[in-house]
Amino acid sequence: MMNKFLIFILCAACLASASLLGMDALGEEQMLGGMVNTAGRGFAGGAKTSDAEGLSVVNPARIAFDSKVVFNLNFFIDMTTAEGDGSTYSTKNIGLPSFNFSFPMGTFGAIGLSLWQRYSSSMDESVKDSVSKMDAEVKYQGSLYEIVPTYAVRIPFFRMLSLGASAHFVIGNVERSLIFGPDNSAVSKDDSWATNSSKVTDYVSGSWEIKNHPAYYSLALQFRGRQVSYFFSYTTPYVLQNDLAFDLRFSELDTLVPTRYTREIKVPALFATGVNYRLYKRYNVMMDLQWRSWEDDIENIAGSWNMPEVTKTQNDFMIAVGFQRDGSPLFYDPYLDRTAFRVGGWMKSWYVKDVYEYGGSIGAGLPMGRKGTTIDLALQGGIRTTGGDENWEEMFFGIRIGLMGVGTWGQSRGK
Amino acid sequence: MKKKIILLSFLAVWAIALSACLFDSDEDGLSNWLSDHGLPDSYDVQTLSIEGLTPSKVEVLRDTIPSIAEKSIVFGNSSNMAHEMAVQFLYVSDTTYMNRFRDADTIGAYVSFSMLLPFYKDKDVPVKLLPIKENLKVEISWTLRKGKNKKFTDSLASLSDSVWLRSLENWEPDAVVDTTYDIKLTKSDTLVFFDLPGAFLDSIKTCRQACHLEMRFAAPETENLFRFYATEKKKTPVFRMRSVNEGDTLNYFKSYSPTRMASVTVNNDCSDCLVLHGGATDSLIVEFPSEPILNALADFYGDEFPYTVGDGYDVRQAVVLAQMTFARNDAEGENHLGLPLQVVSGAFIDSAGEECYKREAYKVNKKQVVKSGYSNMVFYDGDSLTLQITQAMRNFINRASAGKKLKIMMRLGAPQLQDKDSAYATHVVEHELTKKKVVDGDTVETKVIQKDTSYVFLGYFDYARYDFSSMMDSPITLKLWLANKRSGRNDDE
Repeated sequence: MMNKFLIFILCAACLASASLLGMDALGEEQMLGGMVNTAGRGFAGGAKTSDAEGLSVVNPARIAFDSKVVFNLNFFIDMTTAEGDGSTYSTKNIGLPSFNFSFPMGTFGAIGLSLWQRYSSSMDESVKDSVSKMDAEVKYQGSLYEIVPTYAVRIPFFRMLSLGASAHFVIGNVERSLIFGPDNSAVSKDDSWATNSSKVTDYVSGSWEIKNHPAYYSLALQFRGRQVSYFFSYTTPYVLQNDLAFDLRFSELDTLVPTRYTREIKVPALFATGVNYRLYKRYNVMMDLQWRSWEDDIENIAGSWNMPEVTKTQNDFMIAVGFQRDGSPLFYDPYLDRTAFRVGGWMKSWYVKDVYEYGGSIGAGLPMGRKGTTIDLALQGGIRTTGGDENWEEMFFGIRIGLMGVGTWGQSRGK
Repeated sequence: MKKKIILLSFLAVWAIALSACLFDSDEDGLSNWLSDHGLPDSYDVQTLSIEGLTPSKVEVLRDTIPSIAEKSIVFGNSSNMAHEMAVQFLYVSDTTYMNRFRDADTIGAYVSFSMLLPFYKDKDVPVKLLPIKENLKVEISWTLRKGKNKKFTDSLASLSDSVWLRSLENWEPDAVVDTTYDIKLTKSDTLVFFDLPGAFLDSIKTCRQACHLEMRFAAPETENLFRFYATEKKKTPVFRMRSVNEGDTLNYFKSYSPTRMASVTVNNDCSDCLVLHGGATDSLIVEFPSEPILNALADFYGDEFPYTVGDGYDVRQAVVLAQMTFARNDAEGENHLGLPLQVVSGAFIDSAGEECYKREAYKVNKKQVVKSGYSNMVFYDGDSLTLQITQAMRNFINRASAGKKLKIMMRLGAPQLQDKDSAYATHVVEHELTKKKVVDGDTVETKVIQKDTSYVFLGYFDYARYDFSSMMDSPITLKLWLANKRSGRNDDE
């Protein structure tokens, strides 16, 4: 089975995309760690609890209600088409937005760890310039990862309430390589020999960290009722620091002295809340909200070539609604009964000004064997509208595949 | 399980179909996207000429260190430069032979040098080099050190080239003897013999076991320059001793080959003259004031230059090519092989805080080369010399805010054979020859294609001389090809 699964991943990889928006700023955000079960219900369900719901990077309090050990690995295969000015451009990409691990410890609470590729930018294309007749090569490769250790505990005497906290340690790097040929249209014909076939590489590389702090933090409070559960979380603001080295190259061995520059990005606090309502036995409806108020524009990598210096920001807001029918935990039930089904939709205003994303998804949690291992699938699609002069709309379609392993370590039969 | 496989397969096919239909790119899609998002797909080139530059500092660095001669060595004088030969022999003497040598009625010794005939017969050299006829006055000097044990021979055998070369700079001979030789060299001659004087024979007689003999040959008064093989196999110089007693029917010989040879040059030009010599690694270091160049760039760009903050990633520093044009008057130099000489240019660039020398790359302006020849040559048509100084200019602009100046290096290079061939690489050329043959009383012409290898440079130096004084006094023009920030084309879009 695993072989077939890997073959499928490889087949899909050749389709594979990330959004092109905000590439010079932070890149595309993988919402909620790109968890496939969450993505399948339209990124709603931060408040949904079960015995093996797993880690939530926005609601660290939730894992206090889990009773099983959960390991979760998420793949993302994505195709995006940008359309504007009567022409279209498509990219494909494959990613691994996160993997998560949570370990309940009974009355001692629960601990968890997540590695989350929060922002990514990916592009590797060459294009023939109509003037120089040479191939321009445009390459972006950026990843901002967060390592998120989490602790959550149910409050003594108020067992329906839990408190959770997590720290977000930021690591990652960014690389941009632009290789251009000459446009000799402004020089006389007799002078064009000097630059013919002379390529210039604008190479930038750098690393991410948080300024003056090892991490930023999330705090959450979760209530689990018989029918209604909800949570509220607050994530502290922080300043991202991106140390960059700009290097203009004429060949691998012929470069100017690199210039080092640090850009700082003030990321505002994030408020998140969500509610889950259990309709009947295994049927749930849910809604989540997230809000960040960006005050400052984001400085772009930019550098040479008169590229835009900043990416303008806006309030970053997401509303998501979803439905999930949980799978039956009884192994002898029919397969479809044991399968979880999900559907949902979301609307999100990006951190990039005038960019709004509308998406919908369907998903399923397919149980594998008796031990609780599940393959989660989510198909999602939608559009991103952009305002401004460029007005390139993006249409996206993604397949997410998650592997969830559930264990009962530390659980005694008597419990 | 089947259900799962079917479901996954269905999803994959559906995704591929959807991808093919919806996620397709137009031919200009990416280009338009880049353009609309402010990303270029080429860089704009602009040119700027800065005229009337004069150097702020010019100096000549003389090559004074002797150099090891392997394949060939020159001897004599050429263009105010004297070339001497240092030859080292290290050997264990043949006791039986040396006893005979000491007791013989008649003894003699000579050093013979093989003429570098491939040079003298090179068809690419347009001038007539032979015959040479001269009463050559040679100054022969030597030192002889003797030892008895293995320690002595080991200590000499382990003497490195660099230490030996340094020792030649302050070499003090045991004896110096002037001798005159009658030299007549034609194309059929292969060897030149220098018979060694009696004082030398008396000295060599004292060698009983291990000996270290160093000889130096100088010809300060000659106007000729002789080219010999150095320690090349089979053509190496030979030191040969001869002894004969009355009644002997044979001469008895003993021969030794040099361990190593070195070329020692003496520059007879004044120390501050801006003169470079071919074949020597003399260098002319030229430094230019920053202000005229930076002011011209500031005028060109319309704002202050260089930036003091963030200048590293300003593409305006990306000099794609830079060249400097000097006024040239070949009457101020002399060459001997009748071929133009390339002037090599180099830069001093910062590398991890250290200044290091880097030879400039050379980009060929094919059209111009075919029309009027390479522009970086002296002893050629025209009245200007144009050198490419791209590396130096890049380094200067990149570090101008830190007070860096434009500094270049010039050196006389090899004679250029492909003066109007833009290939600038060794390649095969074909010549069509017409051959006449008499067949049955009739003359028949047949055409034959003959292939020949065309080399960029002659394989031998011209020990020429060029005075750059007036070149440095005349106004100099700097031309830059700059990779600029994008201008009108993209801004208008």
